[in-house]
Order: sequence, then structure tokens, then C-alpha cells
Amino acid sequence: MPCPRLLMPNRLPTSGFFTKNTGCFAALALTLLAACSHDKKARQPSDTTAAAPAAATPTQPKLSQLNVFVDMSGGMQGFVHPVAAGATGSGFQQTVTELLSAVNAQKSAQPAYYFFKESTPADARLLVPSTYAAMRSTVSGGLKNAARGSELPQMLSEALKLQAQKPGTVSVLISDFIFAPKDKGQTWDVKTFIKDALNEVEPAKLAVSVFANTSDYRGNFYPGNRTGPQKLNGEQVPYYIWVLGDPALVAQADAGLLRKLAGQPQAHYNVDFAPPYAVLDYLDPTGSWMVPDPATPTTAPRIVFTKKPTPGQPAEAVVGLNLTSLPPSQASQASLKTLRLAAPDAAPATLVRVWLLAQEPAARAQPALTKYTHFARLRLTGAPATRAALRLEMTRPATAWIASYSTNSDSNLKAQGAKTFHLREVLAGVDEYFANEPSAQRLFSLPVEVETRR
Amino acid sequence: MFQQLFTSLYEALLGLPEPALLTQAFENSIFPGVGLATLFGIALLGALFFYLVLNRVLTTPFYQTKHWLVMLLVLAIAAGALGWFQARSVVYEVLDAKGIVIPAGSESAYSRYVLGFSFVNALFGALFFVLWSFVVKGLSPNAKVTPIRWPN
Repeated sequence: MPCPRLLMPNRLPTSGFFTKNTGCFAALALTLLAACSHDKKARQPSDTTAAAPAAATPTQPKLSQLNVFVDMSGGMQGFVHPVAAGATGSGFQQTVTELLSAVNAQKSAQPAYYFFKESTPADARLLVPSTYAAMRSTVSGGLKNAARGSELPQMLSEALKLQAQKPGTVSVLISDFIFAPKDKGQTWDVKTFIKDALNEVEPAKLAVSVFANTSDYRGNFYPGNRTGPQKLNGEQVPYYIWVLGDPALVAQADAGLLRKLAGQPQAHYNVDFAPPYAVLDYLDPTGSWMVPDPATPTTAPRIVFTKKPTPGQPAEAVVGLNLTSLPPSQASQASLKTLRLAAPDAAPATLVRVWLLAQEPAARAQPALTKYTHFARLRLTGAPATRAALRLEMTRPATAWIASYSTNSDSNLKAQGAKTFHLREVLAGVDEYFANEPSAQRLFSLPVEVETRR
Repeated sequence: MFQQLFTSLYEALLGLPEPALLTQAFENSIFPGVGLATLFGIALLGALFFYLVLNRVLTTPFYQTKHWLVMLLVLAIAAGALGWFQARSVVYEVLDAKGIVIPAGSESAYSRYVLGFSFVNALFGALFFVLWSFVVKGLSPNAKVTPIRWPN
């Protein structure tokens, strides 16, 4: 077939190895290929660009019920003094009405409202069910017929009993948490009362968050010391909001409902913060390893070594952590001293450096790094043949504010300032209740799996 | 199955992808995708085009070894180009999905690797064309002995 005139330029040689036929043929072949390759590219197998989520977060149980308990006793009257026209309410009134409004507004969990009171022959109940409207008006306008309050350990055990009836329940207790045992001779052993009350539930299944606040108090203050009442006129008295429930749910409640209290002095026991984290293979890696895309968003990140590291040639990997769900006072304490790496013998590894996002020079060029607040550099000197897990843990930091809020005698609060009777012992009781629970001693424990390929 | 086969083939000549964060992208998408396209798309279609279209369905003067060599060259260039463009497009897609960029220190290693990959793919394109030629040339009455007589 003679080469079509169109494709044949005049100047091609007509003899020798490459004749005009060859050139024409080459042109034909290229044209065909150009047409084909266009289609081929469109027919490429769809690339597995699994939009891998940046971090692994464990599955969260569902928050289905919110029980709000307010201590209704004469001793709380001073917080909820009726507000004159034109005046603003006390700190307690403002904070608690905001919290009640938030509980009422949220749609995911069923709210229930209760008042605590003492069990009397007339009315043996310790809990008085109420409604949002009634509770709000009580907090705004004052307590009518204030009964004697129930004791703190009873409050705790009643709340926990109610909580056990429906899984997925979180209890929010609002009170001044002044525990004055009826028998004054038992004051030395406050911790045991608290521990016994909390024993309604196993430590592994319970978490406690304590948020401290102070409010102006107008009225008679009844000291835990059981001395006579002291009339206060606007002095600050502490009150506390305790959140009890399943560890993951309490973390949810802290981050959601109670986020306005994030700046308050707080203590958390066994709360499962589960911060998002990931192994960053794009930040200064050393050694031969890769991070496969996780199968599901909740599986732990995996480091797969293509060449085993040795003590002489260690591999280094950076783990990015997002600690925004932790209370700021505790997240700021994350450092080489408070973080530790639990490494099995098969995968020896050490924590080399911990630094903040602000200290990371690559953050400007690499926008994905801004998802994290802290970075931890691990040095691995060996890798197992089968999968092994390293755990990055942060120990629970000590809370200094408890001692400053605690006092052994609150008879003269006017002179002393805002303090709570035996607060230290009450919270020591909570601490001891969790003493044998290893997960309570850590803020988080994040697994990183390590294995070798080939 | 093809994934493992092509991964072994490419990594035998190129080594593991650099930077390491692209290893998954290369091994899951690029190696099998480009390998299959080169094997069946470029090499097989090219062999069929040469032996069947030009020299069986049509009768053209393009049955000689020199024409076959030109075809080989053109296909090798096409395979190289396919490797280059496909690798880069998949890598950028994957990085966009994850929201990361190649760190500054690894950019030259990455460019070197993709260049090496396109050369290796050109090589494989030529090799596959030669293999398919031997399979297919018996069907062509005019070009049966191109490039060599065996096995016809």
C-alpha cells in the first residue's frame, strides 16, 4: 500500500536503511499510538487512593443518657440567692444555668434532672426527679423549703446506682462537696467513705472528672466543721462539678458539654481521652520502613520495616499527637519526662525527643503537620518478625490546686478565702479507689504496631 | 497476583521506592497499573498492529526488520512516557488525598526514582514487544520471518 500522500514529506530519502516507507510507517505507528495511549490512560485501573484518615481514634461508645444532679440543701442556698432586678446572678447561677441549658439543648442523649436531699421518715427518697424548667427556676430563684442535704458518699452511690440502670449514662453532679460525717469522730477517715461509695462500680468501668469553680455566696454558710453558721455576703466559696461514667463517655462529655470549663482547675481519674495520633512517614524518617494505609480508621498505625534496624543503624520515626482533647493544664505537661514508651523485648525502642508544633520548622512547608500539637521521635533498634506493639503513654500529672483548695477547718471562711472542708481527703479517696487500675495512672496509652516485611 | 509480579519485576531493577512514604502508592497502583498497560496495552497491541494490521489485514511494504525496529523504538518511547506521566499523576493524587507534600529533602530522590522508573518501563516495553512478536508473528503471512525466521 503506497504511503498516503498526506503523510509523506517530499524530502525523505528514497534509498538506504531508512526509506520514505520507513518514515511513513513510523509516522503511522506514532499516530496510532497517540490515539491508543489516550484511551489507555483513561482505562487505567482506578488507583487505590484510599483517603486515609490522618489519625487512628478508637471507637467511641454512645452517650445515651445524661443525669444531672443538683445538691439541694440549706448549705447551697447562698449560691442561688434570688437575684434582684438589674443585678447579675452569682457565678454559680450563671455557670449552672448555662450547663443546664446545654444539657437541655443537646439532642444525642436523653437528659434527666434530679435534686439530692436527705432521706427523711416523711420522704425516704434521696433523689427527687425534676424537670429542666423546675431546676432552672430553682437555680435562678432560690431554693424553697430547702431540706437538709444528703451526705456526699450517699450522693455518689445513689448517682452510680441510677447510672448502672442504663448503659451509656453519664452523671453530672453539682454541689459544694462539703463532706461532714455525722459522727465527728469519723472525719479522719473521709477517704474510706468516698472509696466505699464509688465501689458501686468497678474501677475499670468508671471515670471521674472534677471541675472546680468558685462563686460569690450570699447567706448562711454551714461549715463542714459543724460549727455554727457564718453569714457571708458575696465572698467566694468553691463548688464542684463532678462527671461520672464510662471512661470514653466522660471524655466526650468533658470535650463537649463542659468545654466552657476547660480553663478551670480540674482533675481527671481514668478518663479515656484517646487523642488522635499517627506515625508520620513524611517527617524526617530514618531507616527503611513504611506505613501502610490503615484498614479501618480505628486500627492502630503500623510501622512495616523493609530492612530490620540494628543497634548500630537504628531507625527513627515520628509520631504526631493531637492533644487538644486533653485539659490544657495537662496537655501542656507533655514532655520527654511525662511521656514514656513501653516497648517489648522483640521491638526495642526509646523515646528520643518530644516537641511542640511551634518548634517544628517543617510545619510551614507541610500543612498536614498542623493537625498535630505534639511530636514524639522514637528510635527503634530492632524489629520483630511478627507484629508487636509499642505503647506511647503519658502518666497522669499531679494536680497542685487540690491542696490550695483544701482546708481542715472551714469555720472562718470569711478570713480563709475559698476553700473546701477536707477536699484533699475526698479526692484522695477517689485516687485510692483507682489505685489498682493501671489505666487510671495514665492519661492515654497509644499503641503503635511494628513488624517486618519479607 | 499481577501486583506481586510487577512489583518484583520493577523493584528488582529499581529498588524500593524513594521516598519511603510513596511505597504503598507505587506497589499498589503504579507498578501493577503501568506494568499491565505496558504488557498488554503497548506491547501486545503494538505487536498485533505490526503483524496483523499492517501485514495481514492490509498489505503494506512495512514487513522488514528495519520497520520492526522502528516499531520497537516507538513503543519503548511510549512505554517510557506512560511510566513517567502515570507515576507522577498517581503520586500527586495520593499526596493530595492525604494532604501532604513531598518533604524538601526527598524531592531529588523522588525525581530520580520516577526517571528511573520510566527508563525501566521503556526497557520492559521493548522486551514485552519482542516476546509478543514471537508469539504473534506466525499469524502474519508477510512478516512471518521478521525479525528472524525462528520458530516459523
